[in-house]
Amino acid sequence: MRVTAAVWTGGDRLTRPPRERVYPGERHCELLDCLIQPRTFSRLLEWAEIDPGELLKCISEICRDGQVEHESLVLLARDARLAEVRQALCPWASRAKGKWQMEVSRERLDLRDDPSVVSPPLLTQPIYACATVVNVTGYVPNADLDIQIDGALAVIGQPGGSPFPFGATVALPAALVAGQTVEARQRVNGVDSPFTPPVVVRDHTQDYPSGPPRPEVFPLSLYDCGVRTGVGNLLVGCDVRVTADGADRGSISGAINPQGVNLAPALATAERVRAWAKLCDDPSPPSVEHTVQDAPSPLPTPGFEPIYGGSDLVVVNGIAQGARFTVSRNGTAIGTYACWGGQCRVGVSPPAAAGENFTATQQLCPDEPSSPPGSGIVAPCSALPAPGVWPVEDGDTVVVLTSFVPGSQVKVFVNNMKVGDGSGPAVALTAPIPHEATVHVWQILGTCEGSTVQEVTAQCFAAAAGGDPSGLNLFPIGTHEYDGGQTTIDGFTYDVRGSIYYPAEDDGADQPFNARLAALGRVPIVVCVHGAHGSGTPSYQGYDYFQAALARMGFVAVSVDERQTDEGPDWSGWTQNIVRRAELALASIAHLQQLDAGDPIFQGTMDFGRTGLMGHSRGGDGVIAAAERASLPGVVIRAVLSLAPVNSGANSGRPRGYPFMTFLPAADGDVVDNNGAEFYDGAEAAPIKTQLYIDFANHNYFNRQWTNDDTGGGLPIMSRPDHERVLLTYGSAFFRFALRGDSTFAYLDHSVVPQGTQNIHHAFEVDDPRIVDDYEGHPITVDNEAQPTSQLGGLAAGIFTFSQGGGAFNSSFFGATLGNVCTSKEGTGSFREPLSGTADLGDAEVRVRAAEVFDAPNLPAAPTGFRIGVEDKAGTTAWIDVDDVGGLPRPFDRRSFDSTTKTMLSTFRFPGRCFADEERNLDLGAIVAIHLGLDRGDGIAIAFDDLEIVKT
Amino acid sequence: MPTDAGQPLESPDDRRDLWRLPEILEIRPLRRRLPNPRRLTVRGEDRYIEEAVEIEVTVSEPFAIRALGPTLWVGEEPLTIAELVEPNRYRFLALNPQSLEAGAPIALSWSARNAPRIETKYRYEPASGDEAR
Repeated sequence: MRVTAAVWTGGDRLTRPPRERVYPGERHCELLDCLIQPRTFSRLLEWAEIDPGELLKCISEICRDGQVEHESLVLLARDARLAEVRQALCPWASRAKGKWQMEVSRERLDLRDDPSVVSPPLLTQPIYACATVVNVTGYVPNADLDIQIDGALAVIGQPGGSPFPFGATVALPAALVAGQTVEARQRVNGVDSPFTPPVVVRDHTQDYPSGPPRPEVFPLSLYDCGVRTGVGNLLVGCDVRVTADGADRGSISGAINPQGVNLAPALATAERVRAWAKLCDDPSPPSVEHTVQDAPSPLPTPGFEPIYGGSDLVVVNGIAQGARFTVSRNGTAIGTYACWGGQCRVGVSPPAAAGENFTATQQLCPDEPSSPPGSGIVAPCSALPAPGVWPVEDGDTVVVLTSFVPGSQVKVFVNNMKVGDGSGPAVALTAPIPHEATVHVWQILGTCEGSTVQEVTAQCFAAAAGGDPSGLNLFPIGTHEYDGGQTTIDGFTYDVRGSIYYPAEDDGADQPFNARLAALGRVPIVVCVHGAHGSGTPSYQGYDYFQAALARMGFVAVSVDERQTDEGPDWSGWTQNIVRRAELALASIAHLQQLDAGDPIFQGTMDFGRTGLMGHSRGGDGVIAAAERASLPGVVIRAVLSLAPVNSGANSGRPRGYPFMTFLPAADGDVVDNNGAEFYDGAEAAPIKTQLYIDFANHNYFNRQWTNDDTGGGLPIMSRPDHERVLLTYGSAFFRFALRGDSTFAYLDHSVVPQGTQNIHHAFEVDDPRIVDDYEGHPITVDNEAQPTSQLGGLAAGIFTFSQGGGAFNSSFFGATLGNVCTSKEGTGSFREPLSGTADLGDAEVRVRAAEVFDAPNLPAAPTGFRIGVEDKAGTTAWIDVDDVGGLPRPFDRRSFDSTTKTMLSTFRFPGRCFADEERNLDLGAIVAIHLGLDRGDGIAIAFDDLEIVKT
Repeated sequence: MPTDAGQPLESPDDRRDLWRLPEILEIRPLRRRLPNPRRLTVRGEDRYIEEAVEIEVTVSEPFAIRALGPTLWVGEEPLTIAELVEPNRYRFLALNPQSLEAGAPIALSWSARNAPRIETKYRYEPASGDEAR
């Protein structure tokens, strides 16, 4: 199963902070979605009173390509020739979001809705000993649920009710024991689904040796008179209780995650609230302490999520935590409910009908007035959209939904045959999805059957929807400002100081180190080094969010105060300034060793043999230098993350001996050359190096103290929280893998995409690949295996430097390597690279880095691509298109800002199985050559490097 | 209602124009024996020099503190390592003094590959006794 987002870690589902602003790129894609999905487009035009001319004008301004006149767009839209409009506009967006997915009318399809096909539901995993409940999701609304333990039915026919929002809590006859197996199935209209695959019950200390994770009270404000709250980050089956000023106010035995808890008596202003969890009598640390506030008066007006005719539930939003809210239907009250805040579900019977009017008010204290009423009008069933679907890969056994209407039933069809019947956010299938299958996903809401379905083409490779590698919240966070005296470097005298975030007994400054964690051994450390931003800015405090995330999961996270290196006499030294930054960071590590040797908080806590470095800007150059200069006894640098670095010559330019990661903000307005690409090219994969080229990211927003947009508004920039999310998710995955051996590698080789990240283009390389060609040390006429290459079908290939300066194909390359640029004006050109002997691709992938070459000044309107062919001994060749493994991204357009629009290569994975699926006669065990194929006939050059075969 | 004086939400550091360069007011080449050996790092390797050829530049205002540093161009030779000797006066160190050509035009830029160069009215003239060409 490729679904990894099974565990809600608290905090972001209901309370995700609003975006600072919708940045144009995202807006662009949203608008393109409108065009791609005719029903949505039509609905927007007709119901939301959007003027089509203004909409299209907006799109054409964003696209800037100027390929289509505005008037033509309007005419096309009025003619409903939406496909032509879509094709004419910004095709890169349609390439990214539209090719593999399209909302289509159900009427024209011959979908066979076989009632005997019912999906197994999903069991929330892991399942731990001592749990007295299990959590079941993904079932058909109102299905009956059976639970089987060790092969025997233990629960029969429990009504599941609505699977929205967090499924059903199924009580078990006895607490679970480690080693037992648990399975679940659903029954719909008398038809039993298959059971889920058995889940083996684990002892929670296998995964949480220092005790259950720390509960999270929903981070919405707690208010006077609140009667309910939500608690997340729980192990399913645990006991949870909520206290106010130390006294119990509510508890649940056998909780799911998240869990609502009713509070009695109600909260009172100034009370201090915490949540506590326990499993097998093993207590968690307490949650963060929250202080109850006076309720705002009046409370905000509640709203409704879209309601469609036929629905048997409505979702009210904008509810204050702990408030009571009253829902009325056509003016008649249907009930008053308690809510943990944010969105709350209310069942309605009979189902809603088009045109009905639902209203809601909310209230906290009885002596305060209710909020103004908010209303929601029921839309007709015909407006019910198709669900959104995460990219589907050949062989998938689960379809993950990116959007669905709460309470809907979701049916999945493969090549018109039904293979799934369940509900969001994921539907298990009764059979794996075959190669290049057409998948249709349809949602039904009560009596309303959606008139459209989402049509999806299964891809050869599609990164799976992942969870949040930064969401591991285990410990309270202690903070400490250290002062290690002074050190002198090159005649400059510096204070050795900075901040430490660490796993503690409780939150706050100088709290004791977490005793249970310390008893398990020393913990790894991560040292952050900021860049130059002026000595008046406390730049070292700007990564506090990252330090806090690392501390929560059990790392010591340090940020070195290097402001004194930002002062003019020092800063102007360029290379030497960065060397001094590196050595000041090492001076801090030396001081940390002193703390570890005898400090009351930190004695015996830090494992300097597992030290990671994260540097930003000049600090990104500096941390590579620091790794090369680290000679402190006992200090071993195990990982380096270089974020938007400069490249001054302060280091060798060849990071080696540790996993290396670099971030390249595509909209960097300061380090406009994205020098991290040079470090990536120079780095050793030990055992991995990875590069993230991040569209819409600028230089500064990764540091909370750097408040200005370094592009000065010259480029579209994503929000600051989106920047931070990239560092949080990928940085956490990187250090967890490199320093602690956690199973987060899949985020580094792009097998899995973290929640909430997008528009990131990965390059990566693992150790010990079979290098077919890296275009180094030999002419284009042979490959790395000394075999003679061939340029076929009109294709022209050549080796060029992929860097600035002499020997480059053009000025758009900013790396530090050599590569192959191919062009072909014909439809079927290929570059054949023979192997020395044969290769078995049975359990292997062909990987290649590639990019569309940006040829200034024009950025073609249409996207391009390539394909990879593998040829066996008999001369049979099978081809897989890059569009089938994710698609070739368009160059990030910086033309309105400067002259550094780049050709930046990404790594593509072509699994061997796909070639075999494509060509049955192919002998996958006897591959003798690999082809780089250019089949678009558009004359656009493609840059290639690092053609490899990698065992999987 | 009394008038609030207002609270800036950005520091002056955050309002600078990253790409602004000061005007060069004066240029003076120097060859000098350093009071203490100076460390120079090239591709991560340290070496120490005791004598330096430098170009002392007086500018109209300080450089903005940012990731990139200023580059003084002598013809096509970039000088990136500078020392602030007093406000608005910097000494740019020539790592390869033999490559400084007499009469070469002097320009200023930021240390990005294609950053625009601001040409100046100055040309390089070696200091007296300078061994550079």
